[in-house]
Amino acid sequence: MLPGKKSYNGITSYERIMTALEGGKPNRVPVMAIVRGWAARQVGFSISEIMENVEKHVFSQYYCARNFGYDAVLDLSGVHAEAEAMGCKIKYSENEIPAVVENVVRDYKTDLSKLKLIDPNKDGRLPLIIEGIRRLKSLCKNDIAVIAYLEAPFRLAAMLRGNNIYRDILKKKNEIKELLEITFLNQLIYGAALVNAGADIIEVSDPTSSGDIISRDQWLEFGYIYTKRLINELKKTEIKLYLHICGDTSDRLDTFVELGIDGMSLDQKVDLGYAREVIGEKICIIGNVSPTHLAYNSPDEIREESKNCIEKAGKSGNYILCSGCLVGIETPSKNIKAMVDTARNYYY
Amino acid sequence: MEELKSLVEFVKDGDDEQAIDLAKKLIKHDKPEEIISCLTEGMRELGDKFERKEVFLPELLIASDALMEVMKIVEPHLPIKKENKKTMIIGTVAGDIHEIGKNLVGVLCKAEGINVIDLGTDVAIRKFIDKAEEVSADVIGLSTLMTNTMKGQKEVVEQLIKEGKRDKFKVIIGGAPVSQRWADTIGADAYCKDAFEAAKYLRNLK
Repeated sequence: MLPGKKSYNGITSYERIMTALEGGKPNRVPVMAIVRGWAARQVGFSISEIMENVEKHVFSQYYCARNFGYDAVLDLSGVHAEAEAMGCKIKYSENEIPAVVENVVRDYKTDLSKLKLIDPNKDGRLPLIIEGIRRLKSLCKNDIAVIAYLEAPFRLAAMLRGNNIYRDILKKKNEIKELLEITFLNQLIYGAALVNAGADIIEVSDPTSSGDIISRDQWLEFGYIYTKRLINELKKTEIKLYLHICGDTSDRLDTFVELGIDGMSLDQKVDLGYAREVIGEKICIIGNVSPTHLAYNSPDEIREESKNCIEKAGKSGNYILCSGCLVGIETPSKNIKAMVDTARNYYY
Repeated sequence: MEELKSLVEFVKDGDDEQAIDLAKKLIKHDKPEEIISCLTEGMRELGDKFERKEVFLPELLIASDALMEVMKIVEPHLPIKKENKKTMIIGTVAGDIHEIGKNLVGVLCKAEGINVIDLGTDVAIRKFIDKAEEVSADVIGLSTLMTNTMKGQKEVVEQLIKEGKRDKFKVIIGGAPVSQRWADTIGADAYCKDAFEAAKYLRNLK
């Protein structure tokens, strides 16, 4: 029998993740990994293959969850799909992460009015991603949790606008807020479509608000407000939501509690002990084994790091062990196994 | 002197319009070297603020934009003394198109009087080495923002060793996923945690 197939004391992977997101204590520490290209590589596919072919993508995700025995699949094939559906040009390559290479809002005056809200059933690769969620859900049923990916309004604004968004923060505040109103609405539509497709959980992702890039005040003004509105609306569907922000967010951990999210996925730069202290038991903490360590350290070091994460933030539940950010394609599988096994052996 | 101080403040605040106007005025009677040295000093102060998390990347970006504009005005007035100018090649490694950090390195090093050749993003290993040889660079600076692409930094060092060229250049690395440990692992000469550290490395390079 494949490792993930078995339920432990009547508790499935799905239940474990949902229990943690509800602030509870499952039978053991739940675990997941932020993987896309790495998962494809495990089954011999390239990144471009899983981007084009929904079956290959779904298979790679499902296979890895079963084979490594972690508790959730995360559909990252949708990264930049919203920006693409709104007219940005994306570069796909065989073994590199897709990247936005042409932004659609070059000049606020002329380009804002041309932006069209997406139709998730029609535009760009969105129908493919919706279909992927549907298939993941029908495979995973209520055994493994299915997580869909949704960019935060500020993140999508940055993809539409490009690096100039960081100048706009200081020099074009009004324009950027107009754009944020559009991306907020857009993500509400797309988020609702992901809920309808059967996702159990949505990861709202905002690397643009990285704690290493913008200040706490800038986060509150441009990231926080719109993300909070989005979460408030999507929460009406009773979907579970967590937020991921990159970088060192130690100076703004308290703001995450007020967002209405069920969980917060933290970058490896944040000390989980400190995070637990600030956040308290109000939301589930997710993280934060370093992807760099996963790629280059030994399994023993990974076991040690994973154990530390659990001890710091997960001693009384309300916690999911996870990588701090996206896992590199060439990460040795024995290191993912070391992380997963640490949680699988950590019973409450 | 008061005006020079104002120029530095305009640059630090990223007020490019006022900075440009004032620079045009100052260049008529002030020594270009003096203007640049005050500006670099000002940028170092901004670097200290960045270190203390009093300013973040948006502030650095608009300040470096203003600095670039002022440099364009001042540079043509500098006496040409190319022989002792250090040359640095910079670029983001193959597979990665992140450029903000790398661009900041370029601007700050230029202000330090370094001849900076920016190869852009998604740069192949071969291109780094060929260009460095062609211009007899002193330093190769390699940037990456992703765990997936950090191996590109390693590959440049490995290729230099393979071709017996490792001693010809200093190799410095930077980017969110990398660290001093990674620099030690791959045998880079230095890890710079931000653009200010890179500028400092170049400034102190003998």
